[in-house]
Amino acid sequence: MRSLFEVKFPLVVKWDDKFTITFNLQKGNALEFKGGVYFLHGDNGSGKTTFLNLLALTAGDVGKGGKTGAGSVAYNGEAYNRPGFNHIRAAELRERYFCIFPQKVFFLPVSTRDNYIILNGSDRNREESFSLKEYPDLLSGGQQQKVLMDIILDEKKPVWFLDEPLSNLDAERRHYFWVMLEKAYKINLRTAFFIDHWMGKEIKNDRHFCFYNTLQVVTENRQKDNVPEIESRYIEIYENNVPLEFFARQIEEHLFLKPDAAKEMINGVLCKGLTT
Amino acid sequence: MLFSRDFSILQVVCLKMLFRKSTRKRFVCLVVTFMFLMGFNTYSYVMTFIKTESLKKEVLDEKAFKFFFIRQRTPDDFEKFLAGSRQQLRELGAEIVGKAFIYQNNLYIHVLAPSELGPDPGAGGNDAILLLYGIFNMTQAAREFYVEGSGAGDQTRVKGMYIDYNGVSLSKEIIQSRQTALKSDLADIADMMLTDVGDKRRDVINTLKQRITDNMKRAQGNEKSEPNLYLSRVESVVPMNYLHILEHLKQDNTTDVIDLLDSVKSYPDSTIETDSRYLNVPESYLGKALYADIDMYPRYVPLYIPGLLMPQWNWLLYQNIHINDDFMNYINGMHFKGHYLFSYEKSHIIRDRVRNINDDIWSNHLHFYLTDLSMGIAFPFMISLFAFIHLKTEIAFLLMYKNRVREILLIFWMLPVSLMLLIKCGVPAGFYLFMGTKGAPADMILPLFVTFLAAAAGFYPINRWCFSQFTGDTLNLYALHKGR
Repeated sequence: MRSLFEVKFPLVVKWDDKFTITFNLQKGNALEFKGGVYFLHGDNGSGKTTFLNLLALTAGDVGKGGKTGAGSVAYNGEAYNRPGFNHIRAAELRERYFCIFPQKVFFLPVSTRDNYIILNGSDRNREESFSLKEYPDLLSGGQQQKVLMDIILDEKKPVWFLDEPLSNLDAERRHYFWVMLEKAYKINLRTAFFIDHWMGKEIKNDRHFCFYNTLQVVTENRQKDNVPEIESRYIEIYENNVPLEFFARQIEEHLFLKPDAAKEMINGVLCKGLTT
Repeated sequence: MLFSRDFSILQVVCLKMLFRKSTRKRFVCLVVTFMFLMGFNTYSYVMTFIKTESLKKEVLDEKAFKFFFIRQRTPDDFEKFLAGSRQQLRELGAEIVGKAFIYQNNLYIHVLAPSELGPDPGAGGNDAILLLYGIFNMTQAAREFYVEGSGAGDQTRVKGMYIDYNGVSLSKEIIQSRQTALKSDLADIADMMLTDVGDKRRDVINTLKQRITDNMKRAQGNEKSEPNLYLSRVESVVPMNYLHILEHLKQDNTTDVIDLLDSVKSYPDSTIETDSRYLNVPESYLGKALYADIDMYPRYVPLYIPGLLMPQWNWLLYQNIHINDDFMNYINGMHFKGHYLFSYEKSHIIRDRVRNINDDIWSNHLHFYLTDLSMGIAFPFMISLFAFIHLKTEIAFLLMYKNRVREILLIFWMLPVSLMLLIKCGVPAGFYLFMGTKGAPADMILPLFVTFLAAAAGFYPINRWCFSQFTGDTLNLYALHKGR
C-alpha cells in the first residue's frame, strides 16, 4: 500500500479562530514522509502534537488551509485543502488509513467492548476478548493507556500517529508495544510518527535514525500578556526508513523476563489476537 | 442505514453514554419532565376533545334544532307570508312543512300510510314528517295507527286516538279535561269546514264527525321518552287524517249521500274503518302548506331547515359547527314582525350553545397547538443541548476514528422524536383501549399527527445547530476538550 505525505511550507494553521501557528522548514520548502518511522523531537509546546494533528486531520481548518497561500498537506496525492475536501472525507481518511494514539488518553463512558466496537470494530473476533463489564473510565492512567492501545492500534492501517504512547507504561508493557509495532510493520504499517520525550536523546544518537529536517514554529497572537514571548521554537525530525532492526533492539532492551518465556507469552497473546 | 448493525451499536452506545452514572439522574429528570408535560398536555387535549365532540354531536343531532314553528295569525297573513317569503326561505335552505301545524298547543299532523313510512330517499317530502314523529316520540304510534291487515280491500281501519305528548304525570282530572277540550276543538274545526255544505250532507257529516270524536281515545307516545325540551308546551298530537276524512266526505260527489253514512264505521275497539283514499291528504291540499278550509288560527307552521347546523372544517384542522346565520337573523326578524316563534328562546339557546361549543373546540385546539409545538421544540432542543454538552468530548473522540456524523445527528434527532411519537400514539391508543372508539372519531388524531410532523421538522435544523461543532470543516479536539 502506498503511503506518502507531502507537506509544503510555510504551513499556516488557524487555531481556534484566535491565533495562528506557522510552520517553516529550515532547509527547502517541502517535506515528504514515506515509509519508515519518523521521530519528532522538541521542547514542550513547540508544536509537535499540533503538527501530528494536522497530518492526522484531527485539528486545523481541514478544507480551508489553501487560503493561506503556499502551504498544504497531501496524503497519497490527496491535498487536504483542495476544493470539495470536507470533514466527511477527512473522517473517511482517518477511518481507513490512520491509527491515532492521542496524548490524552480518553474513552467513551461505556464498556471496553463497546469502546472497541465503536472506535475500531474492525475485527469481530477480537471484540469478544474485551470485557462488557469493565469501564475503562475508572482505570488508572497506565491501565487506560494499555487498554486504549489494544483498542486503537490496528495493524491493518498503514499510518500510525503515536503521541507519547510510552509515557505511563512499565517495562513489560513497553516491550509489548514494541512487539506490536514490529508485528504491524511486517503486516501493513508503512509510516509511523512518533513523539516521546524520554527516548529523545537515545534516538538522536541512534545509528538507525538520521536527521531529516528542522521545523521552525512561529505562534502569533498567543498569550499576549506573557512577557517575554518566545518568538519561535524548533522541532527536529529524525527518520528511519528501515526500522525493523530498531524495533528488534527495543524489544530486546525491554525484555526483563527470561527471553524465551517472554517471547512465548507475547507471541501467544499476539497470535491469538491476530489469527482469530 | 437504520437497520445496520453499526447503526444499532452506535445507537446503543449513545444511549449508554447519556444514561451513564454521572448524568443519568439529570437526563432521566429531563426526559421524565418532557414525557409528563407532553403526556399531560396530550391527555388534556384528548379528554377535552371527547367532551366537546359529544356536545357537538348532541347539538348537531338535536332534531328540534331542525324545526321552527312560526305563528300565522290569520289565513290572509299566512297567504301573504307564503307569497312573500317562500322563495326566500328556500334560498335560505328552509321549507314550510304542509302536513303539520300547532294549534292551541296541540300538534296536528298527517300520519303517513305504512307504505310511505319506510326510508325512501327518493320521496323527499316525507323526511320532515318522519323527523317530526321522532321529535314527538310518536314513531311507534304512527306505525301502529293503521291497523295491521286491514288494507286488503278499499276499506282501511285506523285507530281512533290522539297521542298524549306530555301528560304522563298529570292527574286523571286534568287529562280528562284536556281530552274534552280536544274533542270540542275537533268539533269546532269540523264545523268550520262545513260552511257551504248542503243541509243533508251536513247532517250526515255531522253524524260521522260525532262518530270520530266520540271514538277517540288517549294513547301514550313512547312512555320512556321525555317530551322534547324545546317543544314541551305541546300537549297532544292529533292525526290530521281525521280531518281529511271529513274533507273527503264534504267533497265526495260520486257517492250517494245515503251511502256516505256507511262509509265511516266505528268499532268497539275504538277503531274507525273507512275508505282508504279518505285517509290521504285531499287532492285540493296536495303539495300545499295552507289547509285553507281548516280555519284554525292562529296556528304555528313548521319550518324545516335540515342544514341549519352543519359540521365545518376549520383551518386549525378540526370540525366545528357552522350555523346558518342568515336564517337565524331572518326568523328573528319575523318574530318581531308578529310571526312569533313557538319557542323564541330556542333560537337564542342554539346560538349560545353553538358559540360556546365552537369556542371550546377552538381554545382546546389552539392551546394544544401552542403548548405541544412549543414543548415539542423546546424539550428536544434541551435534550440535544444536554447531549451535546455532556457528550461533546466523547463524540469528538468518536469522530476522530469513525465517520459517523450523519448517524449521530440522526440518533439525537430520533431520540426526542421517538419519545413524542410514543406519547402521541400511546395516549390515544390508551384511550381507545379503555374507552373504546365511541365518541372519539379519527379527526382527533389529525392535530396530533400534524403537530408531531411540525415539531419533528422544526427540531431537525435545531438539532443540527446544537451539534454544529461536528458538522463544520474543522474538527478541533483542543476546543472540544476545553469543555471537560
